[in-house]
Amino acid sequence: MNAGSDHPQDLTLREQARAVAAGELDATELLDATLRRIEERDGPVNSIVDTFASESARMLNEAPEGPLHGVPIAVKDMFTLPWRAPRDGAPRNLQGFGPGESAVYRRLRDAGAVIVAVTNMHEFGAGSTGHLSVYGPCATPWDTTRCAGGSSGGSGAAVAARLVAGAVGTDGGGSIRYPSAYCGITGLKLTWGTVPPDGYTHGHASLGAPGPMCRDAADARLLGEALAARPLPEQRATNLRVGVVRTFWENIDPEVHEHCDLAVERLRESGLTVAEVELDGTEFVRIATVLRLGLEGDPYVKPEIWEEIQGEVSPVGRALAKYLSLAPATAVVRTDLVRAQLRRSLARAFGHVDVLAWPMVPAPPPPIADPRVQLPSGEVPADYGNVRQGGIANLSGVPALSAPCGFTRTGLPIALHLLAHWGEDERLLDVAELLEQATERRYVDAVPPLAHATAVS
Amino acid sequence: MAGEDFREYARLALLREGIEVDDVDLAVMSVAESVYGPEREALMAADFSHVPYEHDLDPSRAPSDAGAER
Repeated sequence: MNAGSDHPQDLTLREQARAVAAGELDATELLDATLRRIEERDGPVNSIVDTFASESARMLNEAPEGPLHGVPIAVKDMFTLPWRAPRDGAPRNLQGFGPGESAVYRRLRDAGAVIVAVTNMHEFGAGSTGHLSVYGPCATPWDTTRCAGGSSGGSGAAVAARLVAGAVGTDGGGSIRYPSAYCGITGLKLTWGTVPPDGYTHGHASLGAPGPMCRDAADARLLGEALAARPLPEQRATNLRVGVVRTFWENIDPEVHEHCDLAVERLRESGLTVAEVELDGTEFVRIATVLRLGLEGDPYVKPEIWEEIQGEVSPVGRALAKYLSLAPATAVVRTDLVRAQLRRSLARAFGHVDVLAWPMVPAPPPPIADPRVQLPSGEVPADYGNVRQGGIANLSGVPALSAPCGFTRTGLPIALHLLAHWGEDERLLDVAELLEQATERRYVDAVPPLAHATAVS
Repeated sequence: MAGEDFREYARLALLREGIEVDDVDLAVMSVAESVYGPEREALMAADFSHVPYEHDLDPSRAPSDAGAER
């Protein structure tokens, strides 16, 4: 908890769950305090787009005993709720989803959780910055002139600002992991298919997967277990092997590179074996991700909805949709071969190592007003740099995690990217916890200026 | 493809599909093409003849033909 604060949202998710279960924290008071904090604190970050006090109270009244009994959780604007249709950060979702019981809703409900808010996101999930949304841009609490990341930017910012201790994001091309990196929290893209796709606006896609976004790995494990509906058992990570893929360490901001290098060194000092690993097909990760992510959803768009709302879509979003429709069919078919090559190469690599590691994003969060990043090769759009780092987990389906591992000299978060074999999501949490211990939790317990200022006021 | 050539191609190709484009569309698409066009062209030019298709793709599990046991 913050020094000087006794607000329940300064507790971790597991502390909230334990305190409610033990009768030390009243769940109704927790819900009310959460709604008040959102009201008081969210303005500068714009992470929350909807609250619904009466529906949350009803969920709480009907909540079964469970690992998250009475604990408020926020969800991204991509899931049907019985009282609300998702909007995908746009005027309407393009697939025609109305209100309903998404799998994410059911799994949270069955764990006893209380859905307290819907979070902001990049328009249609089509960006890694979060600066484009019908609700307005979303900022990282570490510097509210800079991007929260995308597309699950609201979920990342809400957790970092300590509006909620846990949020659900989705990740079709890195969309849980980029905002986790930009906001200094821990985000896990579960193995593809872990959560059923129903009620998820991108559930048709072969790349997207929901996952937990929390302050640290132990909280992500708790929320991840609820979403996965299976245990993610903890195992001491010290006998694991880390593979470093040098390709993804090239053209990285020097400060980011330095902190990620140090993080791997801390893991080595903690007893993990570190070895270099090579993967085939990495040169096409970015273009294959962009093409598949941009086009897989096309058949599911209802033309009449697009006609109705396209005047309200951002000019950039509208133009990029048109741009992607120019992609040659043969290029899209070739992405199948990129995936096949990457998946086989990853499977071989995981015969020798347990996790792979490289910088999560190549540079710190860019300004909302101009979301480009400076790399050693020059200035590029943030999306261009980010997707190279994150897309491989989506093309292949493996679980992947963003772990806080440092700060720039100007106080912006830096994160290490970890990937594991299909179905071994818990190994990522084990390694992230080991990293937290090795760095004395200084990055996961750090409080952004915005949260600190109001926590002690 | 770059510059005016791309803008003209984009305008005509989209017009053929009944999709109208304006100057903002063309400006954004030109930037996107300058960023992603070279990698798309490299993808089109790459030799994948040695890469077998993954006929039973299931992203929830490792490929069945990876040649490595775990």
